[in-house]
Amino acid sequence: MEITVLESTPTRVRLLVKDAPLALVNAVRRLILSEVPVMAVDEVIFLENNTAMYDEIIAHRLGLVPLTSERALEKYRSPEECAECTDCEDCFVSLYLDIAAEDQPVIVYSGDLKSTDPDVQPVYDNMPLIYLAPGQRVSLEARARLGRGKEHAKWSAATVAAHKYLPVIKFDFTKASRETVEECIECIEGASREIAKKLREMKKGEYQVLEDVNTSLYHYCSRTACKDVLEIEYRDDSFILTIESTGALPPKRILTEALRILEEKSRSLLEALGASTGGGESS
Amino acid sequence: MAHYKCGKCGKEFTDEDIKLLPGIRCPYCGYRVIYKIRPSSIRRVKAI
Repeated sequence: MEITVLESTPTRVRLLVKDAPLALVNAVRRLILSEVPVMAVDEVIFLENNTAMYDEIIAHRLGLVPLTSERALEKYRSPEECAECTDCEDCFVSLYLDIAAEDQPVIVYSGDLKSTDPDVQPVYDNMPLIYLAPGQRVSLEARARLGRGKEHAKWSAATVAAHKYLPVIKFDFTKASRETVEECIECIEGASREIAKKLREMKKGEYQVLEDVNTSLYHYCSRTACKDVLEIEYRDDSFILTIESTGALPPKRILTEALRILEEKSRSLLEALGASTGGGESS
Repeated sequence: MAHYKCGKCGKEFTDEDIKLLPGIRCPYCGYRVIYKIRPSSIRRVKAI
């Protein structure tokens, strides 16, 4: 198995994974969305709320605010230990909000939440939460804990976790007339000017589409303007895996956590199989 | 014990005071529009 990093930013990573089974890549994708734990607000204690928004709406919005979770994975107890208890130690972080609008309306942003733990803060300060008209006040304590995406989507570590087969364009411009080649390139430019430019320079061969483009249009081109000149195929042993984080964890940390969870689940399955078959071989 | 506030005179009163007059009226000024005041107890809400 060979892995190449195509793109790596603080919120997004794209990998080219070669010679890996589809089931493995799909398992990693599913674990990223449903099993990698992150911090999110789970319970809100309202002291005062005379705004136009119901308590439940404000609590729902607070639950969807991404909170930095990298250090929290080590500091706080696992979701399974904390899900049922309300006052367990090392489970909850409190974030306080106490804002009143005097003469002017006020918009309460996620940056106004004051956390008791500097390692667990809203990732983005400028998410609007509540609109206060003059004279309205909201005072609450939000309690956040670690959780998994399978329990509620607010605990999902990634906004995007997607894989696709590696697209490869096979083309030969040397065998076609100039007019046909120009029409074909014009069609390709509809999807990506950069790729069209590279194909024009190459004239012939195979081009792996590693750029973040939708290659559906190339099917249309291969049947119309690029007929007998260009075709697109998808390698079923190579994948482009895209992971976009909510900001709670860096994308690379999300990936390593997903792989650790996969290893843990595989090991416990082997142990259970070994136990059920009377201590058979396990690898 | 729920607390209410008159829409006209702004005075606050409880369930017991409402029963003084027939119908839903402010016991002080008789205005028929009254607002329920949010209880002062804290409220725990799940963020779902």
